[in-house]
Amino acid sequence: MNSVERRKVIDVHVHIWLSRIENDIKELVKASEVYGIDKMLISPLSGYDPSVEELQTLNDHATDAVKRYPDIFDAYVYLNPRHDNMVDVLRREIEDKGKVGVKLWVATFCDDPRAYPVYEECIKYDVPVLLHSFVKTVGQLENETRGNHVHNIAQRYPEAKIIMAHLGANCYHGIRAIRNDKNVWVDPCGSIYRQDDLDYTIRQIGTDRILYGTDMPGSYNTNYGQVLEAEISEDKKDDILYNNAAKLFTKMSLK
Amino acid sequence: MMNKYYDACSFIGNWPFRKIHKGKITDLMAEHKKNGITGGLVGCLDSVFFNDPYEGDEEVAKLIRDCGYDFAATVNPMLPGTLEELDSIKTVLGASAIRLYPSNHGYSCASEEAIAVAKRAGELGLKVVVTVRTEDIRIDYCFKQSGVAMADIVALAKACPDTKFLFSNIYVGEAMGIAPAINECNNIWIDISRFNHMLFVIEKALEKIDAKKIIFGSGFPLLTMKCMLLNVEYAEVDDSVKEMIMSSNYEDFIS
Amino acid sequence: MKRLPKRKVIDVHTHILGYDPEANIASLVKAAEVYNIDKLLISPLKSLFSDEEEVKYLNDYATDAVKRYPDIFDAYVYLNPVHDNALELMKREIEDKGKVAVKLWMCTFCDDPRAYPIYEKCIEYDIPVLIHSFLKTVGQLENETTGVHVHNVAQRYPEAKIVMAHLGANCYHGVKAIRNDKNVWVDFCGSIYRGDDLDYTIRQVGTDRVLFGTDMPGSYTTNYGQVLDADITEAQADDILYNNTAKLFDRLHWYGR
Repeated sequence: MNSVERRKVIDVHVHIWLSRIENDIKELVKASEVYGIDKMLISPLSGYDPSVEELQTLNDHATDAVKRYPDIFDAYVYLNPRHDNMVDVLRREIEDKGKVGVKLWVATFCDDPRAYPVYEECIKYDVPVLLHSFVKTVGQLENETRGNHVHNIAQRYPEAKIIMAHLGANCYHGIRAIRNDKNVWVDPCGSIYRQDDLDYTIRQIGTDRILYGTDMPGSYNTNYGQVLEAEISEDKKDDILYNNAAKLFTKMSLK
Repeated sequence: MMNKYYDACSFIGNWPFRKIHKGKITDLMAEHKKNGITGGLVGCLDSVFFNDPYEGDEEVAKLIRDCGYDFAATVNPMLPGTLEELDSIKTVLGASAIRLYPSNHGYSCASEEAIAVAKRAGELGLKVVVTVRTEDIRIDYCFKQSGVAMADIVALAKACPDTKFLFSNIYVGEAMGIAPAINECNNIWIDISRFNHMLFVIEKALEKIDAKKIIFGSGFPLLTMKCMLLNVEYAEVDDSVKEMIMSSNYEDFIS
Repeated sequence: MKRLPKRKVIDVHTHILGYDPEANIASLVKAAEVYNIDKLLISPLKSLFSDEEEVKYLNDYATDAVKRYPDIFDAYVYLNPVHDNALELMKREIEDKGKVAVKLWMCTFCDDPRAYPIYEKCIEYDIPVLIHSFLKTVGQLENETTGVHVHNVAQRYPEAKIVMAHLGANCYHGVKAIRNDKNVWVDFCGSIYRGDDLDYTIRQVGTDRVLFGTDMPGSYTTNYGQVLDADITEAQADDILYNNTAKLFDRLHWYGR
């Protein structure tokens, strides 16, 4: 078997999980070597609704991981819109700790009014906000954002740089919801995987608003294979794999 | 001079639950020609089951229109982005109507999403066809239809007085049950595609339902072309009434 | 709009229902005129499980209807296999009352052992038995026969002439169940109606075992339209509409109509 040709890659959607931080870091570092990844944007996660203390622990772990592997990692600041000190955390992590974007998960819907200050601050700092977005017919979580919530936020904050993760899980739902929102980017990562998901997305919104992400320590090759197989030019594949993210994340450090 | 006869309810395409042997546009045209039918409203069966029905419709809309038919686009009001999509359904697909499948897509016609879509359709001059059923529920296979409440479709039509509605695949008993609404609302028509349960059915329907509101529809190829046509041919009613059912009522509806 | 040319037609599946039999008779007589039907085979029905008295009442009503309209009607004897007098009644109705065949409905599954003697008698008399057969995903009745039960009887009594009504409701089930049973005919009447049902049946069993029936006082045009639309020759359509039945039901009464 031939080895896959080396391409420049930024993976915008990678996690370190609190229960297995060191193991995740080890695997991610190994993946960056095996697959030849130029940069991974990590966000630290644990329970669905972390406490103020737990959130700080998580963000500190991410700061530490970036410090240990500055060539490989950059990090999102992970926020919980239920916390009163949310904006303080955001400012400190961006200004002092070198975080390059904001990550919101499932503590609240992304269009919860308690999250509005996040978008306002992100506009000021010109950093993107990565939103977990996942519609399912079974097991939908209570505050789990879906494409239509992302659409609401995009409409409310047209200057915010929003990333709808996972194509909203079901691209036919998520992409339809945000396809006219020029300030929404998407990543195709996550546990839902079908042939044509990425091509469908490209038919709907083009390639400029698509970023490459993998949800590691989940699979890397699933999403990489999707890009290689997409019905687009090599240049456009490079846009998805690297250029779009390099342009969007202005605070990211690249070699 | 040949009269223009219309079929308000026919389709092309495939159906997931059984092989359709006459699903091509050429099959439909041949059946119509054989029976003296010169036009009508045609939808795409495949799209009903697509996550993004527009993708199915896109493939056949022009073909259907080029063959001299009016095109009925498949719409699920519960999908994100549907409301905005009605514009391209009108201008890009060239649809004359949208066809709703509430029993397959599992929503209430009285829901705010359905009403919003029907209102917007009316503003664009798109007619709204409500498919009350696609199969007799007693022979559903793999997938159970949710059923459509007559009160809901009447409420929908009353909520959207500027939109023209065709209640399609309605049973004659159901139609008689809502005869007062059909007669009093000038925006409701019905088709006879599933008037298959009653002897001398046209005569009996006319005892309750205004002759101006009854339109021929075959349901082909889910149903046969000839069966409901025979009901009109054999009906012991004035020829002028038959002309309305076969011709002028459709023109009033679609204009 | 023009009416279609006259064709010879026997309708093997019509009813007079015990709730308003006179209205049904009037409808059937009118239909015979409007649609130009040569013969209607009627069976009288009422309760899903008729008692002995009701069975007698119904069969007498059918006898009387045939007497009043002998050139339009012939009748089945309707039987409840549970009744001790079923065979005795069958004998009288066939031998003395001119009934041309047996009708079984929902009193038992058709393959209930209590129905066995009826098939044995039918073989003796060489008369067909029309079996209601209806598979549904909702509302299946307790003793409602489906294609699988018909198949069991056909296997047990290969000499019996069995008519599976309604294509078993869902042809993909009913016709599949009996397609290799050469002693099973089918009719495609009833409230289930789809575009390809008759053509599917013909692809599975050919046209020789397909009989025309309508379930009137339900719709006539639905089933007639299906024959006209079927992908078969005119000769095969005539077989379905008339010839197959004329051959199978050799006791029909003709008075030069």
